[in-house]
Amino acid sequence: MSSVPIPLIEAPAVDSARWATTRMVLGSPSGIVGMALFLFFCVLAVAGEGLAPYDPMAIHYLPNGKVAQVEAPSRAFWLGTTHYGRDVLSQVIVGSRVAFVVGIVSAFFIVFIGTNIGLVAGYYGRRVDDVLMRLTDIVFGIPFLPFAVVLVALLRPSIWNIILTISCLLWRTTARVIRSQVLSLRERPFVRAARVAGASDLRIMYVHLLPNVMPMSLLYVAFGVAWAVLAEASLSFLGFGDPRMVSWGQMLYAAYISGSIRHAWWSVVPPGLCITLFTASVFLIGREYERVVNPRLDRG
Amino acid sequence: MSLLSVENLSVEYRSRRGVVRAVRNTSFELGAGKTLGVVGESGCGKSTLAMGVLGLLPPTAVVASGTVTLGQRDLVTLDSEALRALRWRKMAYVPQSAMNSLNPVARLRDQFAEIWRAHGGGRDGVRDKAEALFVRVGLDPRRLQSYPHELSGGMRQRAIIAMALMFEPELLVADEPTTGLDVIVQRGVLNLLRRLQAEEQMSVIFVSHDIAVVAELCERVAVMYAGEIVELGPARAIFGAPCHPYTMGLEQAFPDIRDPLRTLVSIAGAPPRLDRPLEGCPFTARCPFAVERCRVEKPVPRAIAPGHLVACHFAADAESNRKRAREPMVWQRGETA
Amino acid sequence: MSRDLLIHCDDVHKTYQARRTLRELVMARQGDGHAIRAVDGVSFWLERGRVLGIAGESGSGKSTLANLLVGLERPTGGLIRMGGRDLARLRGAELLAFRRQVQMVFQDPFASLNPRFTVRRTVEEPLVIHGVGDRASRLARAREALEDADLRPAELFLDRFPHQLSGGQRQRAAIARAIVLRPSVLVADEPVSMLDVSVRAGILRLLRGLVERLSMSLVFITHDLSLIGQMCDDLAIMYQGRIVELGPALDVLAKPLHPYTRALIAAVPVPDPDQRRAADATALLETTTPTVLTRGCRFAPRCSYAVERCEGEDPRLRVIETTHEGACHEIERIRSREKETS
Repeated sequence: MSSVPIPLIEAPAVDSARWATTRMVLGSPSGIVGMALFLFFCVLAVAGEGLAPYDPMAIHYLPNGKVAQVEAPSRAFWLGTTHYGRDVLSQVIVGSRVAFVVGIVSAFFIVFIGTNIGLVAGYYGRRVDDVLMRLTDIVFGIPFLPFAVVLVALLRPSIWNIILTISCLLWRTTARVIRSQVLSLRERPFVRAARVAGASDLRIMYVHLLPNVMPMSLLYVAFGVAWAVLAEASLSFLGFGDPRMVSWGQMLYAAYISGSIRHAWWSVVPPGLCITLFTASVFLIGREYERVVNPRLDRG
Repeated sequence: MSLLSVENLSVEYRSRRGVVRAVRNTSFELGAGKTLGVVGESGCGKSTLAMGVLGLLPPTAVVASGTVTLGQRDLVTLDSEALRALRWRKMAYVPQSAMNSLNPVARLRDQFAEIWRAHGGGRDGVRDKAEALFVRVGLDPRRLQSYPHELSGGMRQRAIIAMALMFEPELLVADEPTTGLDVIVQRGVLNLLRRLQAEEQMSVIFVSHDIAVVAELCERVAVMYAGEIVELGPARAIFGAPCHPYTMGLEQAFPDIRDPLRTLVSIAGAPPRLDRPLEGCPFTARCPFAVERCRVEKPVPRAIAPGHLVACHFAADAESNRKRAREPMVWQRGETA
Repeated sequence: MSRDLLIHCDDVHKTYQARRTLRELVMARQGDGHAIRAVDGVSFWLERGRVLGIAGESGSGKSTLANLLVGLERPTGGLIRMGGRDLARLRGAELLAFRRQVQMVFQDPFASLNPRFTVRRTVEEPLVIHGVGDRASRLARAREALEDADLRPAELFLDRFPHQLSGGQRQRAAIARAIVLRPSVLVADEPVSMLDVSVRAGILRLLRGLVERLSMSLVFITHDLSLIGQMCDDLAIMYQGRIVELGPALDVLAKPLHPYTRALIAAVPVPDPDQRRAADATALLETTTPTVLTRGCRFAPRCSYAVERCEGEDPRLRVIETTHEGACHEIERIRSREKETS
């Protein structure tokens, strides 16, 4: 037996897994763009009313006493006013907060449900897997909007019901993806080693496997935010949104039913653009993250 | 008259993280109809060398310097079209795990036909040729109808060898031809390779980490370490009386079933990083005979006997070094490179 | 003389039922259907402080046997006894106690470590699972295990991740994990086949040293016969789920009884260009694993010594010399022929 210390292969100076990933995501053009856009919306959401020039629900009047309806963008109202005389810019800014809340809370639920189902189905296999995957298949078969419309119509249209609806349906993709990851990880020797050491099934799933599927889960948090925002916008546009909130979707809805959609571009383009850019930013980050994370998952 | 002449070949992998010099200033010659074995452990650059010689480097790798002369042509200067014309016809390559790289959804006879057509074989004759080749490698010609997964690992390896022989190339390069095969299957493939070697006029380069396989198949052996050829010579000399300390260490580390009780040696330490410039001899950190000179002055390969080159300052002391090399403790120097 | 027996395998079987295809169901094939007998009647004893080698090629069942020994799978027939208890019947707390006694080292050093765990977490994990000690004592024991595995100083390695270690270091970390609970039996499944040659000897020496220092037993599974000599006290040769030869390692290597063992030994290449191994005519036919059971010896189709009896009667493992057993009808005849020619 040797008594000489076995030398270590030199490791790069900073090798914490977390920061390495962030650096790699930011290293690419699309990652930078995505991150920049996302941060922009973060600022909007956090600042909220503080940043908005006016109360988003306040109705503005022209000097002659009439409601400042559908005013084109001017120095007073940078993005003009809506049919109801409200400032578009303020609404857009406050709307980002709603987008974040709906997006992040829904994404959390989507991933929580999906990851757990995927973990259990992938690990146990056989009957448990069959049952859970059939359930997933059923949920896959349900078209989102019609179901959401029905559900929201039955319950009150409120932000929490919207979040509930989104979470109920959109976990399905995450479940499938996590399950397939678990299926391959399950065969790896380190899982067998854990079992030989005496780890229980629960311990193997949540202590050994979960950290390895986390990167994928986080990726789906990103996607979940995007899906949720789009879903909320769609629901609102169809009239099923929460009338007490100002969201981008609600803005589009208002513009549509009031007819201003036809001639007042400023009531439509800003919220639409925000939805598009926000969703895109999340997708860009997610895509870069996936590109970075995947080769490492394949290693070994 | 040598068929293949490699001079000062260096191959680098270039990426954003830096440059990895995987193969450094390697030179060797291969005569027509002769066999050369390239041995070394993982990361020594032997596979990169093989790919570099054949022009099969991945996009991230470039030949940084040197020449590879096959017949009259310098392969390094040829463009991809010219190289493609030479592949399969003049030089054939059996990569690592080739038996796992067969197209799983095509029958073997179709895979033969595809290669035949792609390299200008003409429309007819491929069927007879494939059957004849299968017989030569010891496979039932009826197996041409099969899909790869219907054959065992050893049979697939024989099929790959048959494909490589299709155009009767002048040069065959086989990377780890028997790794992953069972002992008895490996014996069959080794016997086959020996037989083919005797029958063909083909020059062969065998790349392997298994020195026993190389000892079986090759007349000459090149030992690689950290991208360099540290010893090159006739197999008898390399195995009977190695002159480079790494070769000595490698042989002491290799078990021999005829001598089951011999204490195997383990060389402490790890190979140096190839993304940094190396001063002096790359084996210095792990070499039992290293002195200060080794750290600063890179040994140049010198002939200590006709056809036997060694890159070591103390090649002349080989005999006494060999005695010391048999003691396991002598190899525990290992420091960080 | 009583031996200190740790594990006793008694006619152990492991049969897998391959799923029947629709075609087979429709055509109502007879017989076993597609039963794969991975382990087909294996019996042996493992004594304390000894190293048993199990050698065989792919399809021999050695990996399945390894899984059975550590309790990853349950036998479909026969008994595995440890300390007198039947392994298959253990549940709950008893099973956990068993796990403390038998541990495993795997073939792929990288894949056997959780990529998200530091070396420290990996080595402490068995202690956590069994509720041993508190944080401080677990760390101390983990350090001790790492140093036992020659990863010194342990500090250097505790906070590293697997991708920051070399192959040999990873395997040592895996060994540290396996010994941290001080098991009495270690099962090593091809522990060095994925490591560089210059690193193998160190790992093997480490394992051998641990057997002596910790009074463990080691089951060393390999396809590389050249390593047996320095690792193993006893050797079992497996072929298609059966043990065909069993005895002291050096005897089996020097004086093999079974034709398959002879073929294996003759087939191994040696690093000596002048000793080009003569091909033993036996066993060069490559066969895929037959699913049709024959009544005779499994090896007969490939055996150059086979006679009529071999095709009708399946040979059992029988004692030829005190501790050296072989499962072949023709052993005596082969030996006497050898004596004549030499």
